[in-house]
Amino acid sequence: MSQRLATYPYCAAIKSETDLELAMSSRAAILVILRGDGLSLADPIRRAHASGKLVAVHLDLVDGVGDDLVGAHRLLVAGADAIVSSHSQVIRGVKAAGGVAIQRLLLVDARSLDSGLIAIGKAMPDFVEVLPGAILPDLRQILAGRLAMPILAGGFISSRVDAAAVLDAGAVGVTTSSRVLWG
Amino acid sequence: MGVDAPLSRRLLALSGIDGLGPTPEEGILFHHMSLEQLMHRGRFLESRACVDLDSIEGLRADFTAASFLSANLPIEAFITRRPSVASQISESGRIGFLRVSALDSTGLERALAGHSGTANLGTAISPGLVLAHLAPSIVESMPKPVLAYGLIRTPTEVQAAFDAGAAIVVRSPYMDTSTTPLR
Repeated sequence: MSQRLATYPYCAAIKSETDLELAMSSRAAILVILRGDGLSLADPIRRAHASGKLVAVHLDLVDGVGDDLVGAHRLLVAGADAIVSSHSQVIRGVKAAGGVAIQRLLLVDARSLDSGLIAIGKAMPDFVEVLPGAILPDLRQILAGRLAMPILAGGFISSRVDAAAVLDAGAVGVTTSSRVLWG
Repeated sequence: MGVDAPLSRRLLALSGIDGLGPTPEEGILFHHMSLEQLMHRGRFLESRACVDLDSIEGLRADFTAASFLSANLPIEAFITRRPSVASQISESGRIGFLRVSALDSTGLERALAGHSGTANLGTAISPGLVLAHLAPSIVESMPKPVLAYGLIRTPTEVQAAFDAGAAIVVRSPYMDTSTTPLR
């Protein structure tokens, strides 16, 4: 995933079949599935792979599949390259199963930031997705030295100016539902 | 109580462990403390304060709790994630804020859809830091008044939140270097 992001740092946030079709013909090398039937993703994932894309699935947001380790394993068996989750146990299990684990850091307030960083320190995901990503430049100094993993930023990033600020603040990639950024 | 001053536009968030006090132009938002601590600190209030009802240990986050606090302390305004409680508070003549998480556009849209639009019921956006990054049309659509709550630390960030449309801004002493003693 890191190599793909180094080439083009935008990940397409997929919320519909239309998004999926558009993303597969875009420059975005990584698709992050945020909606849909989590029990029926084998075919969409296969089609995305055939288009040269990597696929991450957000375990907490898709329907049908449980947001637990068993659910995560099912998605990996269906072909998902990465699993996005807020749960440390799932993160550890995905890594153990050979998948790429992306843990969410929700920046709601100081307390959630602190507790999130502690959880991430224990789970050691492959990537951390920071939300809302738009405020990453404002928190750059606070997060510096406290996050060892590469950062994906998502949330309220809708222009290349927004994205540039976030990438300059240290993110290696941007997750966005703004199709214009998919390229 | 003898407190006739209105709710301040600038609030300092105080938790059970903070040893800092507000600047002269700031009021107080109490959060993340026990009911005992709140009752103790609230006795020394010189202006009307706000409470994050969901974060007070020993207190059920319901209308009975809000009524109790109003009757015993100069608490004018309440923040809660519970739509029904928020509506009851505002319908009783107090100032209520429904707290919504602004982590991404889809989540914010869904959260605002749950706002009843009751008169006197405003919107507390968390993290408040993101307000300056939102499109003006999004802020305009929020039920007023808007309170920016979470991760705002510096005077520049406070002003940015006001400029973005917040009527009240909560400053967090998180990593604050202020040495203002607790009053």
